[in-house]
Amino acid sequence: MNVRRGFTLIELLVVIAIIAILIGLLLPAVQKVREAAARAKCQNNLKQIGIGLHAYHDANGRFPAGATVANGLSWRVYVLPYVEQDSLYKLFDLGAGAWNGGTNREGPNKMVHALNRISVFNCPSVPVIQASNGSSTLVDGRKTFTSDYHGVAGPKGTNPVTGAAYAVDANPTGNGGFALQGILGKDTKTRFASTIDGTSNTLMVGEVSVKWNSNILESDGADWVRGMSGNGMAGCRNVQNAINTPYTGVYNDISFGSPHNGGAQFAMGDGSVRFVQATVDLVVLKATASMDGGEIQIAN
Amino acid sequence: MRSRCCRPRAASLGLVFGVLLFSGCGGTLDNTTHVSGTVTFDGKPLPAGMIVFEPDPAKGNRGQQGHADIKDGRFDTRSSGKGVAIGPQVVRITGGDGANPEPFTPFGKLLFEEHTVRLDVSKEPSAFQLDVPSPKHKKK
Repeated sequence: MNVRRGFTLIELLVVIAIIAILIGLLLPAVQKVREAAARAKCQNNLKQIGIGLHAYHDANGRFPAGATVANGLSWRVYVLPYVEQDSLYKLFDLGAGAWNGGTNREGPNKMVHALNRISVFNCPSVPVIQASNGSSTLVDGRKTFTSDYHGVAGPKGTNPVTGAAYAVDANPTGNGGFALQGILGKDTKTRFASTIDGTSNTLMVGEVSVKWNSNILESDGADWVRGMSGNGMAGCRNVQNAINTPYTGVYNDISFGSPHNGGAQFAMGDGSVRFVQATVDLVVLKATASMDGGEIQIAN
Repeated sequence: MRSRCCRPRAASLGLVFGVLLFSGCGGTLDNTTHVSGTVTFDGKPLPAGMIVFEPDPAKGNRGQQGHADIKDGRFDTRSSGKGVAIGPQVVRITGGDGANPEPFTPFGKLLFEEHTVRLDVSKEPSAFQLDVPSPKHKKK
């Protein structure tokens, strides 16, 4: 009268198949949540940077220069005291001279401080956080840290309102020159009053991640201290190409871009953070990059 | 017997899923198209480089920017998946000799400064033959 019987093979297989399907559904969902968390962290970093730049403006009456020619330093150095890194800022030599001078390329007291990783300068979705460029590596072999956030130096191309070209300081060595109509560019001294288009309508800081040759995402390869090296601008980028465009061989025109699906995040001039889609009308992207172009349409 | 009764339903379910899976894929946005063609430098095919198609706002064209890699003188925007907005374009070409590509010099030694051409892209699939003149000739 014993009616107990075991599971048949078919039943077992069905159960295993169902479990497999459930796991298959779950794993991509976990990856998606991880990416969403990384994106939120990145958004927060940009918010902190935006607030830091505003605090700098409150104290100094203007935004820091995006990239200073005289001492080669980027805006990130000047914003340090306002992102809780005052003690590191005090170590910096703000005097004239290359950012990687000296026999060990330490600056001195400039590039050597990029050996410190400032977590607010890195997007957690970007796998490479160390600068890969040879000039950003100390002679003794120690590697510096890079930053995924770059100032918006301004647009290059044609202003749709006036039909004239956006102002660009051209240089002859093929790095693409310096766009002049953005908030953070070469030797800029932007004040709130000079952002005529409105601070909420102007891009200030954005993400830069490029798939270099090996298809690995990283920033522009420079350390976070570097602003200007000869005619190559590292702390800021011209807006010449659409978001997520691969490297065209023109260093100052490296496009803004990110590993987040479909676009990149930007801190606007008013400190808010927006996600701008990669497929946005290029004219609109450039209009948003300029602070005094008089354009109406703004990317959001 | 029971299993036979359900076959048509299973088939129709499969059909519905199939339609859902394959609808909405393929094709580009209405106002964009794909372009391909060849780029020569001083008459010879450009070994490596990049071509960017930017809609020309000075001539009233708006839209997304398209780009394509140049390999052995050929390019096709289908490879990047980003189409070109139909109408007048500002086309920018960069390129090098393709020897010893490094991360920061992906095209090898650059052969020329960024080269700009203006042209029209129409809706029909079109192939362009572009030539970048050698800077030596330009200087004269």
